[in-house]
Order: sequence, then C-alpha cells, then structure tokens
Amino acid sequence: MTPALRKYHRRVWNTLAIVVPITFAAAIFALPKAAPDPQFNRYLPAALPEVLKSTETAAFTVRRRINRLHGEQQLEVFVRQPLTVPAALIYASGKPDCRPEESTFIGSLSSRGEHRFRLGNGFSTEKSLYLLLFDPVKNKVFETMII
Amino acid sequence: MSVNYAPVLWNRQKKRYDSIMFGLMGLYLAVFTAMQLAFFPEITVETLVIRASGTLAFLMLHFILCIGPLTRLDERLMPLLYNRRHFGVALCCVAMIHGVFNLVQFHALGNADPLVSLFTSNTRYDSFGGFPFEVLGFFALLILLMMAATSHDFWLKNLTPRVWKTLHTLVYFAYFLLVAHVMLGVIQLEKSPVLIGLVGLGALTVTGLQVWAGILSKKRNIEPEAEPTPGDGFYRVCRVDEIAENRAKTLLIKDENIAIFKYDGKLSAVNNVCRHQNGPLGEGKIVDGCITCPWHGYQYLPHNGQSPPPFTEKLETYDLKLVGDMVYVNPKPYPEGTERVPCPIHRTVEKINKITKAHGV
Repeated sequence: MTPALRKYHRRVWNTLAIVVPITFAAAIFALPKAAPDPQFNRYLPAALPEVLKSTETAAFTVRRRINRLHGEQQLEVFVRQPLTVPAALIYASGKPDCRPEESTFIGSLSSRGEHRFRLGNGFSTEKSLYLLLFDPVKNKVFETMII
Repeated sequence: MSVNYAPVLWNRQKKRYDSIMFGLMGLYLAVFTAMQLAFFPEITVETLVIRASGTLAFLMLHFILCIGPLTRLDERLMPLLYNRRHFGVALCCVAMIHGVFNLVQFHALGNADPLVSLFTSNTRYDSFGGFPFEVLGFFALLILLMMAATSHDFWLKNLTPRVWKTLHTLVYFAYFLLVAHVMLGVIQLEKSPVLIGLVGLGALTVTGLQVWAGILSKKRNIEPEAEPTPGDGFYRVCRVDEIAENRAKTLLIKDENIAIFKYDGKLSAVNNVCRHQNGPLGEGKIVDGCITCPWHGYQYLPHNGQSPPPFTEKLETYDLKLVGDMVYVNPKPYPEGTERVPCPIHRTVEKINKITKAHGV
C-alpha cells in the first residue's frame, strides 16, 4: 500500500470510528417505545356505537357494528396474529357458498391490528353476513366466517 | 502473475481457500436454518432465504474488512489476503440473493415497478427511525456489485491500480450503509437485544481493528524520511547492517517510495510499490534472485526493476552509493525498468559489521 493510500485509510477509518457508533447509538435511541402498530392509521374511521354481532377465529376477531340512527354498517376486523399470506382481501356476501367474484369487495388486510370498513346498504342487518378472506397471489379463499 | 487473462487462474491455494470459504458458508446456512426452524416453525421459505442471506452477507463483510488489519498486525495471516477478492465476489452473490428476494417479496406484487416501489413505498426520508432503510441496502448492494464486477486483474490493469484501489475503497462507505440498513431496518422492528449486541460487537471489532492497525503502522514508521546531504542529491539512509539479508529497508523521500534490498553482497534500490495492486515490496523478500511481493507473489529483478520474462511489469530504479558502511540513495527515479549497477558491499565493510555485531556494538 502506498503512503498516500495508508493515510487515506487512516482518515476514513478514524471517521468511521466516530460515525458508525453515532449511527448505532442514534438508532438505539430511535427505537420505538411501544411495539409499532403497523395498522395505526389516522384515517381509521371511528367505530360505530353498537355491536350487532361478533365472531372470533384463531387469528381474527370480527365485529359487525351499526349506527341505527344513520343506518350505517361497519365491519371491524382485528388481526391478532401475523398474516400467513402477503395480501388478504375481504369479500362479503349475504348468501352462503359464494365465490369472491360473486361477492362484494370490502377491503384489504395488510398486517396485525385494527381494520374498519364501511359496509354498504345492500346487507340486511337481519341476515347473516358471509365473509371470505381471499389470497390474490395464490388465488384462493383461505378463510371464511359467518357473522 | 498472468500473461493472458483467464476468469480464474486456479491453483492449489485458491482451490483450498474457496473450499474452506464455501464450506464455512454452507455450515453457517445449515446452522441458521436449523435455528430458525426451531424458533420460528411457521417461517416461510422466502423469509428464511431473506434472513439467512442477509445475515450471512453482513457477517462476510465484517470478516472481509478484518482481513486487511489482521494481516498488518500478524504476517502469518497473509494467506487470508491473497484471495480476498474471492470472498468479496461470494459476498456480492449472497447479498444479491438477499436483495432480489426482498424486492420480489415486498415490492414486486403491486401496481408500481418494483424499483420504483423500493424508493416510494416509504417516503419518510425526513425521519431517522422511520428512514427507508431498504434504500440504504440498495446502494450498498450497488457498490458491492461494482466491486465484484471489477475484481478481475483485467480491470486492475486497465483502470490503473490507483483508480482501481480508490474505487474499491468504496467498500467502507458500503459498510456504513449496511450498518445503517440493519440498525434502521430489522433492529427497529425486532428490537432484539441479541441482534443489537451482535451488530455492536461487529462494528466495534471492525472499526477497532482498522484504527488499531492504522495507529501501529504509523508508529512503525515503515517509510521514514531519510536525511539529506548537501550537494550531490543523495540522502543518507542507514548502515548496511541495518538491512537484513534478502530483505529491504523502505523509506520515503520527497514522495518517492523507495525499497533498498540487500542480497548476494550487493544493494539495489527500486520503487517500493508493486505494479499489481500497490503492495509493499519492501515488506517482501528476495526469492530465487527476485524481489517478491508479499501480497500476491509478483516478482521483479532487483538490478533493473523488471519482471522476469515473459512478464512485463517494471519498477523505477534508483542510484545507491556506499560511503564506509553508510548507505546513500538518490531519490531521482530512473524510468521504469532501467538497469542500474548494484552497489557492492565491500568485504571490509562486511568484516567490520560482523565484528561489531559479535561485540554487541
């Protein structure tokens, strides 16, 4: 190695010996205090006041909420365990044994946490709602729920 | 040394080096996979590949960065340096696997182009904790790719050693990018004290070794300044007996890096910088009548600085003179490959040196 290169190496590593620990310490300092809620979303709509029905599976807690005053319906899905598929779409239907293409698209789930979706007026509060969780990558329904 | 370019000039040492390297890589992957399956039985293949390749690449980079300073601290570790580029290319391949799998897993299944998605899916460039760490990894991978692509002697020759070496020092910047990539990426998500501890230990080891080796090499003053004498342009260097047989004394005079070799009762002075990869010839020795570079074995004849035929590398040569037992050198270089008559060491001087040595003077 030439003297010039040796000098350059010394300068670079003396700089890195300062910069790397600072970056390391700053990253430790920046660690989030609580476990990040990746689903936290300031656009998450407020929950409607009344829970009409609820159901639970190993990974999901699903509630059907309504606001009788305004005639609104809402689907609240709490994903408790990490999804085993990279993307999950929710379809709803008033009839059993429907395929996604015959159902109404409600929304998508991306990770753990709370999700709320507006249900349209086409779903009667007197009848059960059939939910399909669809994996668009593998093109198959991986979970069904009745609420 | 090569006359014609071939992808790899295989020899026994290279095969052994690569066998050990791939063996260790395979062992790491096997152990890592077993541990992942034990602790995370639900893990998918893609996630396992991403984690295994990422951790292996990070570990390999640490090891590569330690080779240089370790060889300066202990010459017995020199064999690790000889084929370091093989390690670098292997590192690049592993890093590519990590990068490609990440790109496909997290960016390829949306509407945007995967590379566009890489830069636009997380736009928190103004945040430190939420900084898009994937971008840091991307640029580090680009640097590693450039280094792997130019690792062959063909590029060394055509870019010139100086440009080539300068390009390859970008690995230090890549190291910083990767530390930031890990600290702002997986550490922010996992917050595992074990991971944090390992990354910290790695950074401490690499930076500590490099700084320590730098301090030691400065202390050793491998290229001390010589003392000028008025009039004839020669500089006083040292006594003849201060130069070991078949070894060199190196010094720096007016930016001329000179190595003075003693061999067969003679002295010759050549430029200290090997034409291959700027290795320190003065730290090598005379083997079979040739100056042999300690890094990769390139050879030069001491009296004219030329590589033995059919090789064509050449060094600058310098004039020497002996006054009593004191060696003097003229730092004005002759053109590369110029023959200069070696300076004979007088028998009287040799006898005096032997007597003084015997009496411990």
